[in-house]
Amino acid sequence: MITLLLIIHGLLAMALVGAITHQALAACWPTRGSGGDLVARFRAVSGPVYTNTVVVLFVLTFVLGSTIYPSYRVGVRNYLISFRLLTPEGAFEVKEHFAAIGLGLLPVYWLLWRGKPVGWERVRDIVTVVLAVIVWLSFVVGHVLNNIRGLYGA
Amino acid sequence: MSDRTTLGIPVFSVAFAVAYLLATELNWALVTYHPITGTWALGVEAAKAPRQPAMYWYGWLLTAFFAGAVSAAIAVALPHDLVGRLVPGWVWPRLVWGVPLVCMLLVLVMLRGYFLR
Repeated sequence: MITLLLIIHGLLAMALVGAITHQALAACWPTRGSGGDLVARFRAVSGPVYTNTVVVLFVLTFVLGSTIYPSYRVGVRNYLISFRLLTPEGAFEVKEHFAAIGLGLLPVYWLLWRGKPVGWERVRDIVTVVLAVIVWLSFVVGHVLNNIRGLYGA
Repeated sequence: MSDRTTLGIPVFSVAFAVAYLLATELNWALVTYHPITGTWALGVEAAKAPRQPAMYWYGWLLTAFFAGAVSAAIAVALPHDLVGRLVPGWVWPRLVWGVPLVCMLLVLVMLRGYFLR
């Protein structure tokens, strides 16, 4: 059951990475028109369209991660401690704290994208980039830890 | 952003980040979870045995949520001109992204022992 939840957690995180990256790039590096190469098309998406999707995916991924967290704490963390893999262990600690701060940012992120506040566009873009960094870091750390035995050969 | 209700949301996010950081550093957990036995306890409860860790993360989240909600409620309830005098309008945009970012940097400082050795 935990394995299934972990796979769903990973798939949701992958979708979240895609959505927030689209939105962050469109906000910080916008392009006029929808034509051009792949990168230009990537940047040309409508940012507000992604807002609700990002919020829902973030919350679902967070809740699933919280559900399987005890398994990590009891099983994987003890393994990391046994083999003195401090960097991966520390990276997970960073991930859990960053993800929590990201959860707290979600209401203001939603407000900044859906409320269309005049004069707050720069704040909206920065908050989106901060969330994107949190999501990317969490995704990479989670992926590395998921493959920890293969990566470290222990 | 001049609407009183929309003032509460940035206050929530800023207060949540600060409260979460304080909760982790000072271990202000509203609940503790014991994963081996699958039991919850109110407040901070120590691990019951060396190989039975106690999890405070859920409790820190709850603490941060309540601190954020209470701060937002106070900000909404206060007279608008008083809020404006306490925190000038030009400060809010910087607080909204600056405080969570500083909290993230402080998390890295707190956990530097894992990476610098």
